[in-house]
Amino acid sequence: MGNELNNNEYIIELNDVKKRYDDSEVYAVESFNLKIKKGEFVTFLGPSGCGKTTTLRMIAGFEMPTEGQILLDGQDISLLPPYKRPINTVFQRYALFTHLNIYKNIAFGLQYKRLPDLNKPILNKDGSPVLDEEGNPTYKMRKLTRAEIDAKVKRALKLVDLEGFEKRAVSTLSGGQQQRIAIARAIVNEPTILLLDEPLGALDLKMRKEMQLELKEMHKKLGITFIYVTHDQEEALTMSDTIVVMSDGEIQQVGTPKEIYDEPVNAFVADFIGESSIYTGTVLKDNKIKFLGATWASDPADEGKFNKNEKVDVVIRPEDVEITNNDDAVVKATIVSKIFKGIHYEYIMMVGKNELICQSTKEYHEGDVVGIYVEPTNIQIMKKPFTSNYFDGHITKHYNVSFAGIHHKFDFLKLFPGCKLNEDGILVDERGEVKDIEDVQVTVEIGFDDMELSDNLDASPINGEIINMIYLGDHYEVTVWDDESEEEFIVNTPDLWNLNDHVALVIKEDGLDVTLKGGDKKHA
Amino acid sequence: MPSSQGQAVKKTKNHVSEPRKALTIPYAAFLVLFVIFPILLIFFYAFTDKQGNFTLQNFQDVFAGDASNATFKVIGTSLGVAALTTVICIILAYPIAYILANSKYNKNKIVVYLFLLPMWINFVIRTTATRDMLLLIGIDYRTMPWVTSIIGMVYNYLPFAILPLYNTMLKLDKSQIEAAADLGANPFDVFVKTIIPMTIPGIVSAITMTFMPTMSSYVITDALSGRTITLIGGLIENKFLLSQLNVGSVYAILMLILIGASVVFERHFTEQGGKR
Repeated sequence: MGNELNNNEYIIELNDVKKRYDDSEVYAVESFNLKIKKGEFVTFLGPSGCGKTTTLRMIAGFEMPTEGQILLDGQDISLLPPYKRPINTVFQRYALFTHLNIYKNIAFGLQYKRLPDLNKPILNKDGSPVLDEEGNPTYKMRKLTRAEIDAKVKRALKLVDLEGFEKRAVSTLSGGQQQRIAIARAIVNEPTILLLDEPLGALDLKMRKEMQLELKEMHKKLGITFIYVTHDQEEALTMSDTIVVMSDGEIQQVGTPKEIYDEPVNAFVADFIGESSIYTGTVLKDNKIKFLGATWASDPADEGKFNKNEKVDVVIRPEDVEITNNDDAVVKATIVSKIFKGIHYEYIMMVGKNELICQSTKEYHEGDVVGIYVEPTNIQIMKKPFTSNYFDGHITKHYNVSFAGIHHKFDFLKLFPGCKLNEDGILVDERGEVKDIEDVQVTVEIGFDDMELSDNLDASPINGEIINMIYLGDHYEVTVWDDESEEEFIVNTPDLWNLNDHVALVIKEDGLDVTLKGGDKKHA
Repeated sequence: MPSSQGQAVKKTKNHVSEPRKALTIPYAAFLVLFVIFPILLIFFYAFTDKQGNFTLQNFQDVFAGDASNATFKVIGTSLGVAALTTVICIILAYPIAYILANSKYNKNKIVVYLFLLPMWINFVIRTTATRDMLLLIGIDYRTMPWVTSIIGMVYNYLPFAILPLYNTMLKLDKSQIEAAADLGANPFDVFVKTIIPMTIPGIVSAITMTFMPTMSSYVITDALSGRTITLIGGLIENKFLLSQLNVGSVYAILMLILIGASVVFERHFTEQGGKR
């Protein structure tokens, strides 16, 4: 352990870790970089299939990374089997040994634990003790004694509040109790890191809330690093020191719960964490921003971060929307629904054609028209990841463009100024020489607004499944996955579709924007 | 509850149950004809002489003096062959089932059918073919009757051991295996401490499926040992062929007791497994 001398602030580091399963062509986890401090409570948060469990399983050793390194205390453990790692896991479905009683379940890991036997120093031939790198004497390793195991099991059971359960069979325990035993079984080994894979997923709401607090308490008491996986944003916000928001195998944002909530870096994070209204806005000069058909003062901290006229995502949290009838109101909104939520009312209002969610303790009525104001610091502006779909394509023999597994007509004459078609329908340049443009590489751009969704799968050669939907105030941003071409299409639509719907994507007339690729431009 | 409702229920119950009762008649008849009557018949023959008079002479013929040695030798041989076959079958079937249950090696379940395929071939042909094939590769049933017999038995009953084990292993809780590795168990410990305990029900039913039929089977050993190994089933056949129905029935009762005992024994084990 020579690395003790180095900066050992981080207990575990994941460096550019990638994972692709043998039977899959896409990466389940992509370029994962993360450093975790000793004693931190880190949560991997994301929708199912975002790669969070895969990452956890790579840390546990059940999966080997395809690329990249996992360092534990500075040592590369990427390819170490799970039983050689000082890391223990609390499994989603507890995974208690049904053939063993509670005592034996908890003691299971202890039977493999080895301690230095202080009565048996390792000696050199001359009788002097063999020293380790730091000059301390070394000892032979021994198993734990029965009494030691007894004491540890007792202590673990006490920690999870299940004293006296030693002789019970697993099947006689409730879900919550089994969960506690699973935790006891893991922490009794005093791991350097405890991994928890959606451990509260199978519990009812009340039990879950209780266990959240207890886990947090346990984390404080034990000082062990916790890595927690969940898809429940509230759970993540309640318990974590640091939240890692993941989507599509990639980290979206790393930060404290407050940072993630208050300063989401993109619309995905904003949509996933807490309730919010998301709009497309345009950045104006003088620190102003235009959305909801009005001009708003934006956060001075954002000044200079965006270009003028840049399209951005704007996120407004419901609790930040202020209802006012004074002159500071920026827009007028009509209340269309009112729900009493205990300490406040939640209103859904319409600002023009856009929906706005608002929380207020004051009572208004459906149909009321109210003024709306939002503090500049509460207007979250974030860069749009893209506003168009981009594909690599090439020109076919018949002057169509081929991309994403389809052929599509396009205005190819625009790409080659000066060229025209001769009487045989063949492209010629100014001098009348035939111009061979077959297989010329191009970039195809289709704006989110340049496609339409259709139920009729024959309407377009592009068919796919809706895999994601974000509501952006007056329209939905829908992601469609075409399994055949393995391409993703993002399209704006005013209509509500269902996740997993199979749809056709119809490209509007003039919806395609084809440009030559840099390298080929000269050649052409 | 008002009593009128209770009566109404009773009425409809009676109304429905009459034709339903009639449905049980074929089964009852079957039970009496093919289960109860034959057993009674065996007991009747065992306790009577050829003229039908009550006697214990048949039991004396089987158990008294020199006869008892021969009887116990046959019982011992039967138990031995059954036990040996069962043990070999389990040892062979366990890894096969484990591999088959892993979908990586058994896509479309075709390999499973390959192992079960011999069961579809006529039993007599299969056994004769086994004998000749073993002869072909130099294992002569005349000089090595024990070797050929056990090979034949294992070959015949291996699928019965694979199937229950395979079924249990399909349902194996993978997370418990991962949990064991996570807690520090190396692959060998994982196998001994989690996989074997989890497959106990499969092992017990595999034992039941092989031990009981091998106990009573004699055709395979007859064919593959050149009739030099006599099992209790063969003994019974002999007596009945020689029209010694009374003594044969005593042997039949003996076999009934042995199989009954093994059922009780295995039941005991299964219950223990279930309790956990």
